[in-house]
Formats: sequence, C-alpha cells, structure tokens
Amino acid sequence: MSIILKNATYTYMAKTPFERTAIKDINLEISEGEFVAIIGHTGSGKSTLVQHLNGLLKPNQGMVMVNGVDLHQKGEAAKAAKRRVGMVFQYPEHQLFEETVYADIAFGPKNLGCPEEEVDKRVRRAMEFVHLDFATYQDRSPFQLSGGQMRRVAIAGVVALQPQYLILDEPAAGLDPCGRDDIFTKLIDLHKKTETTIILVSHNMDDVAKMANRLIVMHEGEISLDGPPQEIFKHTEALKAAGVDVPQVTALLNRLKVAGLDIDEHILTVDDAVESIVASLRRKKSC
Amino acid sequence: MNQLIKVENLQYIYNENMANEFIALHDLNLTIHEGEFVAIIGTNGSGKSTLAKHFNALLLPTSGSCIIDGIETNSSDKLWAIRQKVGMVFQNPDNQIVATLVEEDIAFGPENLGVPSDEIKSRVDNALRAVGMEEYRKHAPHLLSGGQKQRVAIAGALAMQTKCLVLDEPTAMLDPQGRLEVLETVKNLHKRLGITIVYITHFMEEAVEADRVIVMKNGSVLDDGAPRAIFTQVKKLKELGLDVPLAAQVAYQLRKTGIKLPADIITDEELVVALCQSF
Repeated sequence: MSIILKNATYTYMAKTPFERTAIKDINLEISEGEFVAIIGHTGSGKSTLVQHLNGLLKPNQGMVMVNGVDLHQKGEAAKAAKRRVGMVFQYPEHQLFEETVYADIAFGPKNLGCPEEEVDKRVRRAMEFVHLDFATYQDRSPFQLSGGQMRRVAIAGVVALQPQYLILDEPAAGLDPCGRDDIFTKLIDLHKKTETTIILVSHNMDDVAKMANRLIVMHEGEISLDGPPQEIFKHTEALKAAGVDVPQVTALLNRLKVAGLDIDEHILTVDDAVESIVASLRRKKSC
Repeated sequence: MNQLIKVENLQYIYNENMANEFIALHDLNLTIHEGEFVAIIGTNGSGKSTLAKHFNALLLPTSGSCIIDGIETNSSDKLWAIRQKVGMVFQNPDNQIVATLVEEDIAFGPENLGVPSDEIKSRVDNALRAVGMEEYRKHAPHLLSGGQKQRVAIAGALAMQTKCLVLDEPTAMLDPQGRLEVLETVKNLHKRLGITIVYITHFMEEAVEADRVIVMKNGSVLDDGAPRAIFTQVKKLKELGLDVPLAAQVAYQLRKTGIKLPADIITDEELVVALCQSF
C-alpha cells in the first residue's frame, strides 16, 4: 500500500499573467509505514505537493493514487481512498469552530458515521495523544486556550479520524520548544505504535532530521534530493541551492572539523555530537 | 535613560468572574528603557503575548498599571498617542495586510492619523528603506514571501514614527531565510534608528541577539538578565521546557564529561575557539 504521484504537474492560475507552475512532473511513492519529511524553501512547492496527496488539488497533468485507487476518478472508491489520508494544515487552530474541545475533536468521527461510543473512545485517545487532559479540557472552549493548546486540539481532530496516512504541514510553527518536542515525540509514538504513515512538511531541518527516516528536498517545484537524512546532509551544495539549512548540529560539527577536530560531521543529535567531540579530544590527547 | 515601558503590579485576568476565569499575568513588575533590545522567552501560556498586548493598550490591566512613555494605558483619550509610540508586529504576516500595494499598506497608518500627503510620502520612503523593501513598493503584499511580508508590517509601524516595536513571534511562520531577514531588519532598526525592541520568540538563537532576555513563567517574570547570564543556565531552562542555544547545550554536556570549558559559552564561535584551545 502506498501513495503514488505519477508525472504530477500543477499550475496555479493557468492562462493568466500570474500563472505559476508550483510542481513539475513529480514522480514519488510513499509507502505505508514510512516517516517522511518534505523540506524546502518557501515557494518550493512542498505545500502544493502534499495537497495532492489527499486529493485537495487535482494535478493538471499526471495522476495521484492512494492504495492503488486513482483519487480523481468518480465514485465511492476514490472517496474512501481520500479518507485514508488525514491532513493537518498550517495553523490548524484557525479551523477550530465548535463550542467545546470535545465537540471539536468529535466532529470528524461523527461525520464518518461512527457510533457514539466509538466517537467517545476516539476523542479520548486523540486527546491523550496530544497530551490534553480529558477531564480538564473536554468542556473548555477551544478559543480560550493558548496557541499551543489550540494547535493540539486541532491536531487531535485529525488524529481522531484515524487516517492511514497522516500529513502535517508545519505542525510545530509557533509552538514553544516543549510543545514542539511534545508533538514530535507523540508523532514518533503514533508512527511506531499504529504504523500510521507520517508525512511532515517543514522548513526546519533540526526538527525533521532526528525523526524522519526519509527526507525529500523540494526545490523550484521539483524533488532535488530524496533519501535517508544522513545521506541528504552530505549534499551540502544541493541543500544550499534549495535554500535549506543543514541542522545546527551538523553546522557546528562542520566548523569544528574545519578548525581541525577529527569528527564525523554527519551526526544529527546533540548527544551523538558530544560523544563524538569527546572521543576526538581523547584521540588528540593520546597522540 | 528614559523609562519607555513601566509595568507595575500588573495583573490581567481573562473572563473575570466567570467559570473559566484565568489569571494570565500575576503582579508583574518590569521596566524597559528607551533604546533597549529586549527578548522575551517562555513557554506557550506563560503570558508573553498577554504582556505584549498591554504595551500598546490592546489589553488594559485588570489591576496595577502599564505606563508607556509617561502615559497610563487606561487613560482612554490617550489611546492613539500610545499606539503611535508602540507598534506591534504579530506572528502571522497574512493577518496584518490591509492594502493591495506595499506602499499603500505602509501609508495606511499615517493616512488614518490625517498626516499631510507629502509627509506620508517621505515617511513611506523612509520606512521602506529602513526595512530594505524599496524595490517592492508597487508590489502586491500578498504575493511576497513571509519574510518580506513581515518587513512590510514592520515598515507600517515605522511609518507611524513608532518609538518602540513589539514583535510577537514574528518569525514563527517563516523559513530560515525569512527568519534571518526579519532578525537582521530588527537588529538594524535598533542599531541605526535607536528604536526600542521587544522581541518575543521561541528561537533561542534569536534571543541571543538581544541585550537583555526576560524569562516568563506562569504570568510572572522568572528571570531577567543579559543573554549570557540567562542561557548559561542550561539545566534551569531545560526544566522550564525551553531551549538553550546549541553551543550552550553542547558546552554544558561536554563540561559534564569532564572537559574544561569556560562557563559562559553561548555561540558556536565561542565553542569552536574554546575547544581549539583545549587541544
């Protein structure tokens, strides 16, 4: 099972002076169980790309298939396939609308026709997933929560749909470091426990490098790099061209290497970096 | 130096006397002087934005006072004077655009004040120059990049001849390039025009650029000092749920393994220099 884009091209405002091709002839397969991060500069086409994955945008050319079903054919099969893909937009808190946190999260599963108990179960599970205490928050108005809490309610609303593929467009923008780590830990958890495929859109390398097992770098509407994080960060030039930073840890280790310290600069976490620096200093001292 | 913002025993309660009453700010005291560059950090819900909204009278104290350049914010007849002194830039650039051309967007504030049109023109010119957006004056703001939109928003505040800019997570939505653009613009305004900056952020590498960092927790000021004094307290900030700059984090962990390093490292540069000296 997978999501496949075949020769997908999308042009905004075609045949007007504002015409702009946002993605060009994209071929991509995302398989069930992957944890993929799509990164790129503003305007690189990453948001346009992911809006194809659940059929929100229809490619001008090419096709999108979810689990083998063409999303843009007519009929029930395509509708069901679209439901497999859940999407958390940028600033999802702008889409909150219900009077209570509970009602907002329950809205999706109710619409899917879930029975009351199932809805309740899903709401509780989703709230637990985003770390919102059920008793404290279920009756609160979502509009009187802090920005980070609102974000979590909105994410819970999509998680409650239990999609097979979960797309999140910049889920951590505007969250404090704690909220950010929290969301990411929960995503890793969800990925591990339920084998939900996670597709994350971000421009922050630091965030995604540690989590994803596959990175896709977008540049001017095309895929410029695609592979495991350690591989991607070796392509410093291509990353620079795409306007994407290497993670701060990598940047720091690069500087140390230039300064003469013998270390592996393809390290992605602070702990590994510290270990590598210590080992390198010891080697220096012993010779 | 002139006390530009003076907050005394400030308390702010959302939904006072209702079931969902929430005390966002507790008995807060704070003075910001003219010409300072202050960063405010703290977790979501610590009261940063609530505090910032007091600085230009978008919110008024439930009790206590907030005095801007000598004017109490709850003197309602002085509202416009206060808003002219303190300009706000918010997180989402798309929510702050009002006009269809960049120059019209920037002119919106002074036009509303009834500033003569020659004067408006020169203010717009100066504001565009200050944020490095002259060549975009005839562009449609909604088609600009996020960083450019934020610079337009900043220019809008400058056209009001604001003394102080309050920026509430201005880079949260931006890519690395946009973040750099906004930060450089802000630093420039502070250095060249002497504008007082209050900069709320979750990015510690941005907060490091300020002269002073205020740490908020549960509606109060927990800590207040120079970036070096704040960010070397790695353990404390981590416990608060905040980040420290990467170099401070790495130095902290290296020291724990027994490597001797100065206690005040907060930038990559300093760490590289210190490590090079140690071998």
